[in-house]
Amino acid sequence: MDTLDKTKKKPNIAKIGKLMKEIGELTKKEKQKGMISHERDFDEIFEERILRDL
Amino acid sequence: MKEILMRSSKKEFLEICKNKHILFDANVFIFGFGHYKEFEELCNFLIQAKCVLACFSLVEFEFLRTAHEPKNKEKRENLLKEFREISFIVDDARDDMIKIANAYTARRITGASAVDCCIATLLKKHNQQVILATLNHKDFPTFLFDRIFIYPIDTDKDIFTLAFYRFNVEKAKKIKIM
Repeated sequence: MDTLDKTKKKPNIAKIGKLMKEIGELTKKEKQKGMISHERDFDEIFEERILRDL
Repeated sequence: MKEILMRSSKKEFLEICKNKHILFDANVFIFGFGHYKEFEELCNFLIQAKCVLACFSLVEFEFLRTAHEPKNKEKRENLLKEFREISFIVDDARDDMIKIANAYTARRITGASAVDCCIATLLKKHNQQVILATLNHKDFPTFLFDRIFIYPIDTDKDIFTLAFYRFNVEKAKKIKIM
């Protein structure tokens, strides 16, 4: 099964740059508010689920 | 040709990656919001080479999970809409994922996550069409992948080394995972 999207849609690079800038600002504010990432928790749960499925 | 696949000049790389899907690893997206101009330049470089900018669901998951507030998450989702999604069907890839994970473990590559093994499986499945862009080099070892091009990014404070990787079928056969 071919799962690659072959449509001709082109990305809007200016939009990508603008969104990245905004995401950076929002993320910085989140860090200043002391919001802590729980990446490790997510990783552990996620990998447990993958291993269980395998 | 073998030498070209191992490490190519910019001109050779542009030829290799023409019309190929460039799969962005989550760390590249995360790098991007700290360095949006450099990220934009990277996208422009790839678009000029007629590449397709791509991501897939597990990379999206890694990128979206670090956003806490809805507005941040919404912006990230909008950004990902500009990238072409590569579907990933776990059922099809199950055996490959186990073989790749075992090959990593046998070579003491313990830092690679389950998502990295999924990316490796995706690169194996689409080895002629998909090239990975990542800042994480340890998890895509050269016993299985060709590091075909290194793209240094010089910011004011630091220098980042992004590289492009392609799954090498001959290497996979040599270590008996194909």
